[in-house]
Amino acid sequence: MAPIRDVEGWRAPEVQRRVRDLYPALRRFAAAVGPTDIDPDDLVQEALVRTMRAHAPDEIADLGAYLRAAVVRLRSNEQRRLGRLRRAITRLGSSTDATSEVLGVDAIERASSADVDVLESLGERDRAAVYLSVVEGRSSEEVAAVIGGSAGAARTRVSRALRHLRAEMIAMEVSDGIVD
Amino acid sequence: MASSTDVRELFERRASRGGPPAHPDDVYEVALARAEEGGTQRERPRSSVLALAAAVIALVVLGALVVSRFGNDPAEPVVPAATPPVDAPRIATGRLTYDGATCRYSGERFLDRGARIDVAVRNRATVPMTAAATRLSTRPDPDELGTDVAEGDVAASLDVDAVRRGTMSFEIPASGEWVGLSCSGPDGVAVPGTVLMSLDGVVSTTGTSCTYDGVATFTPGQTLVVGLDTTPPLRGLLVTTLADGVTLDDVRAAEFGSRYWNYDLGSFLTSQVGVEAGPVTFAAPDTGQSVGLACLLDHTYHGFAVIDPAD
Repeated sequence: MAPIRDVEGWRAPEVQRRVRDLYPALRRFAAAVGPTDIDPDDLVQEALVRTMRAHAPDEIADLGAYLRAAVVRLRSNEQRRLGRLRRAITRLGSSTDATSEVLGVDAIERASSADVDVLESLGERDRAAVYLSVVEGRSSEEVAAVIGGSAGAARTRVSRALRHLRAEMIAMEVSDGIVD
Repeated sequence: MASSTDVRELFERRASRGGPPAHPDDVYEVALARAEEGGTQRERPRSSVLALAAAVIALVVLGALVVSRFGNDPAEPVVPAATPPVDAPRIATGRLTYDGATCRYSGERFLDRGARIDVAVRNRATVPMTAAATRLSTRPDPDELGTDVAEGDVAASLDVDAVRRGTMSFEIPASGEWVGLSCSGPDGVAVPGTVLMSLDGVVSTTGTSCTYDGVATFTPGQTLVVGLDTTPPLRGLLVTTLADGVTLDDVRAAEFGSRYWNYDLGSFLTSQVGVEAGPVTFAAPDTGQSVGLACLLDHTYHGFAVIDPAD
């Protein structure tokens, strides 16, 4: 594993303050966009670690966008790792409560009401794109900076994902008898 | 037809998952430490280490058995197996919070197997507390806690598997006495996040103000953080009044999401005040919106209130 690139740079108070100021929004982003079985604090922390190993702070023009992109990229690896942990804990015969606490299952259940599950029908990048656009009000260029690709592609992705999301929500309302 | 508002609400609800947000400084500190370490402890494949250790033990035991069976003086003690190589324990950054009735340690996720966390309850009362820790959500059994906890006594010990992530908690009776809570690793080094606080201290609201009355509950160097969380974000708000001549050292506005209300787009205002005693009061603006107020002491919420000015 690569060592940290610029330890002094990352220790600098102004850098820490930048991250501290960014942190609440980053955590919300991780919680809203990331997989539900991973603690959002873990996601952000892991993104920080990887960023510190890859770059000196002054190499990153937009730290917020970079860290958001790192959060999005982390998904698959973390999911696999925690999947292994969950299976191992089950084998060890831990209590349900303990397992739930370890994996944050209680949090998953809270967040897994049916309508929120609609968001799971989106892929990770689509979810991130919609969140950045609709919730954070980011421009297409800013969305593209996080999920990759061009601004036009990001705009298309957001539109397509929103159409899909709305169709899913309507279908759910119909099935629930909320609308005819 | 679902609107953008609906979509936004869905995301806000999804974002509400997870436990209390970790303090940014703690996350940064741990991330920095992990980055500096190169991640070797966390990422090192343990299976090969354990397999090697098991093989070493097996060889030593087998050798000892052979010697004792076929060899020399049967009374000669068997040479104990060499201690298997283990990683130095990593002490996690954890967090102790206290909500007025329960102490909760939210442990880190990066402890090594076999490390231990000791949770100590230190009672500064002259009379030993009785049943200071009455319930644990994880091991050990509450019977192990003992009943008379004197200062410095370790009230509960948890191994890593029990608290690898998640929480352990125990109730503390409202004794009105100082209670210190600490977590330490196997080398006795206290885990960052140790707190020392009194059971006293309440938050009261009057509809337009939030008052934390924590008289004589602060240890030197502690700061009181008064947070004001609004829905929707109200930028530029400032703490407007402080009672009892408390000096406002630092006021800054920053985004902050709360898990208790308005998981998104909250505005968080803090005043970190050096407080020795006395209430801290600030006025909540008439926003026409619900306003949540929380007082925090070293990351610990001391009460919550949601004020609706319409009331």
